[in-house]
Amino acid sequence: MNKMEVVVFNKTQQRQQFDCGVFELNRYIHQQISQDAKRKIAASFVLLNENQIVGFYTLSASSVNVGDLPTELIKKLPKYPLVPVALLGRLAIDKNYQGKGLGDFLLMDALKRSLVLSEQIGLMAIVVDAINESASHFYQQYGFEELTENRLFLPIQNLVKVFEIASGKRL
Amino acid sequence: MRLDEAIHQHVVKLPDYLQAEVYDFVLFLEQKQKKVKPSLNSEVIELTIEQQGNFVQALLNPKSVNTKLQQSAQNYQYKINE
Repeated sequence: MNKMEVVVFNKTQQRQQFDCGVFELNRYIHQQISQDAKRKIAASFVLLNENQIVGFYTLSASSVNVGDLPTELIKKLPKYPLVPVALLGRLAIDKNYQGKGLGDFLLMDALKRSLVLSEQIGLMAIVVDAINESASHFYQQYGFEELTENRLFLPIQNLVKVFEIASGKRL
Repeated sequence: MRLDEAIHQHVVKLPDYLQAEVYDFVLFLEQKQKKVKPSLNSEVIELTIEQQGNFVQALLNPKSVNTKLQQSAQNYQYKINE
């Protein structure tokens, strides 16, 4: 595989051969992704090998009930009923490309993108809906914490320092 | 003091599993540097030295930073800069 590049989804990219091993995610990219993009329900970003999609993720604006957040975090927030978040709705890698660190790469791309977006529109955290236990474990390795059943979150504030360090800024 | 000596001085104070992570990451960066095109050498080496220093700093205070997240962010940033 050549240089990894994440780009915005468009209909000319090849996706019918995509198979990540999870029926719902396959169905999404084969049938739904284009509709969601067209209606601005979700922004989709894809990892391409030549013009073939080998991985993708989706981002949407969403909100969570303040009451669902951990008590320590609630104390630091104003008394609003809802707080804005970025929803990482789906993230998947084609079976032929799994085990190469591409899921890690796509997740970092989604986190960095959300961090950049948070400078333009209020986003207090990134929320993911883990499709199964394995996915939940994957996200927890990166510091995501359980919010509600199958839903995990990571405060955007946690990412600021991480990406400053990664980009070589002096601390 | 040379960078590797400075890193070693800090790293020996860490738990074994974090020491391994630091050395793995430094090795990863060294291997990447060898593959860099000559015209980019100085810029990339400067960046990676700073990244190494920051990464060690982050690991010295592991409670404040998730090490898996930090290492992945480093790798990501490196790949997109390649």
